[in-house]
Formats: sequence, C-alpha cells, structure tokens
Amino acid sequence: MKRVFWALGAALLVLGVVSCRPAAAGITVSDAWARPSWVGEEEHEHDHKHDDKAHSHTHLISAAYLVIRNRGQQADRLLEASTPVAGKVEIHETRREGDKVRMVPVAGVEVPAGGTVRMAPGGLHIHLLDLKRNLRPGDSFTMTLRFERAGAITITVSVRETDKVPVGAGY
Amino acid sequence: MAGAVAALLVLVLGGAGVYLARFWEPEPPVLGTLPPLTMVDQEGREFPLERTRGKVVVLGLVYIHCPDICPLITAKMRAVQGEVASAGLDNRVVFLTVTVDPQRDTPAVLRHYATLHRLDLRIWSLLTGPPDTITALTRALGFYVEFVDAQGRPLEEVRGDTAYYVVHSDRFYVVDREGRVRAAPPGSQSNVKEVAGLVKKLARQGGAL
Repeated sequence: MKRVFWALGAALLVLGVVSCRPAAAGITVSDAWARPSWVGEEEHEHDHKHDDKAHSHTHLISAAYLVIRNRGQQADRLLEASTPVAGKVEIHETRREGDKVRMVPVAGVEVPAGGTVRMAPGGLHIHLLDLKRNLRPGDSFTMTLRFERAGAITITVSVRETDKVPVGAGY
Repeated sequence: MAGAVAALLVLVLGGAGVYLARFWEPEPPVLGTLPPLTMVDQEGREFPLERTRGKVVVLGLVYIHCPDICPLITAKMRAVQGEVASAGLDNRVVFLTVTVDPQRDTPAVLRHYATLHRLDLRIWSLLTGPPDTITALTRALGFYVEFVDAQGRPLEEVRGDTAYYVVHSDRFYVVDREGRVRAAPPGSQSNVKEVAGLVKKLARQGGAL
C-alpha cells in the first residue's frame, strides 16, 4: 500500500513539474530568422593591413525576427533575449514619424492570451550587437527568450539571405 | 458643312485627349541639386560628386549599424539596379550609398557592407567623408538625421565608445544627368518598378547608346 502512495506521489510530482514547463504556458515561437553578417578572410586581412579600426569588427550586427503565439488563457510578456553569438542583445521597435524612422528600445513585448506577435522587418526586432562570429546565409544559432510566465524558451534561428524584397511598394 | 467640321474637331480633340491620358507622363519636378561636395569612397579615395555628371544617380543614405530599415533601403536600391542592368543601361547609371555615420563607418566598414549586400562596385560606390560634408549633403537633400543615445535621447555629440543610433529619413534619391534631384522615393517602402521606370527614362534621355 505504501508503495502505491509513493508511486502516486511521484506521479503527481512529475505532473506538477511538467505543468510548469514553458510549453504548458501556451507560448510557441516559430519562423525565427536573422539577417546575415560576416567578414570574409580576404576582407579580414585587407582590413588588418589598411585600417586598425576594423580589428574589432563591432560593425558586425544583425537583427532577428520571429513569431510568438500564445495559446494560453493568460497574457505573457517577452522580457529579454540572449544568444551566444552576440555580445549584446536588445529588443527594438522601428517607429515611423512621417518619413522619419526611429529605433526605440522596448522593455518587453506583451503577448495577449490567444494572440500572436510578429516580429518583422520595419517593426519589432531583436537587435544583435557585437557578433562573436560570422552569420552566413544557411547558418543557424540558438537564442533564449525569457518570458514572464513561460520562463526561458530556447529556439534555433536560421540566417537567411535578405536581399529579396518586394518589387512593389512596402517591405 | 459646319456640322461635319465640328464633328471632326470633336474626334481629333477627343482622340488627342485619350492619347494624352494613356501615354503622356509629366516630367518629374526638380526637387533640388546634388551639391558639388568631395567625399571619400570605400577604398579611401577622393570622390567628387560632380564626377557623376552625365549619369543618372541613385543615391541612398544609411548607417551600417542600422539593423532593420537601412538593409531594406539598400535591398530596394539593389533591386532597382537589377532592373537597370536588365535594360542594358548600366553604363548610364551610378549607385551611391552614403553613410550618415562617418565616425563609425570607415572605408573598411563600407567595403564590408558592399560585400555583405553583394553590391557591384563597378557601378556602385559607398561614400563617407568629414561630418561637415555629410551634413552639407543631407541638408541639401532635405534628409533628416538625428543622433540619439541607446534610450532614444538626442545627443549633442557622438562618441565612438558609446552606443548610439540615428533617427533618419526613409528615402533615397534619383538624380538626373545634370545633377538635379528628380525624385525622392520612400526608401525601404519604394516601388521598385516605378523607381526603375523613372531611372531608365532619365538614362535614355541622353540619346541612343
């Protein structure tokens, strides 16, 4: 009988742990991609020969875009993102004021219950600064998103060629 | 007899009206002039803007640390360049990408940007220059530039060792063979077909190839 109680207790504990996992909170992240950014070997050598300022390659930056869906009953909030490939990661939003564009740091991104947030060019994006390595089209890297309720979710971000734009108006 | 003449007149005028409505395109207005400034290209060489006279210029202003809008501006310009190349007008058009952030965007950084965006350096130059020269260009074109810190507050002075961003216009410019600005399409949101159509029209105004 004692064994049955232990087994029941263990099963409840497992269920409890499982129910706290991010997936149960209803947050899913998909379509994650980033702009390429790299310095080639030849260019690297050329830079070292001709321009001392190029050594740090601090101009290696990128932006990541993704889609967050909240299938849960409660709103959640993306608080921050991190990735081993970038020295610094910030959540930004591009805002328009007439023909001016302003990049604004965002403290967090609300994901309403049953709602979807699309991070896309010209709007919300995850800014990757001080890249630690080249991001070439076809590469991928991991990124961890921390949500207020769902906790940490680690995703894979694909690096995509981004020079294909609509020939019509718009992005 | 008078009735026949009147009917003929109506036909002729009506036909002319229909023709004009379908085929006549007004000349684009002159919005300004490209100033005679001397800049520095991606190889560190002097680049007087007057060198572009006699060619149509597609000129974009960006900064390389811009992760979102500036790559879109460059991608739209590159799509225009593809249309121009397909029309066999490469030798009549030059593309210029000018940085508004000369403190960080050295010629080496501009070369990196050219590689990243696969820009054809035979007809595309990336330009920087002293801050005063960049300001003279942006003022002449009516291109808004404001440096802000990481929190979005305006900066009086920019320093390379602290994070800053640039609030800027989302436009590029089409300049005719005489150095006159003829269009300022909405940068990242431009209609490539329309812009390329204007560029090709201006390029062909110089006569047969």
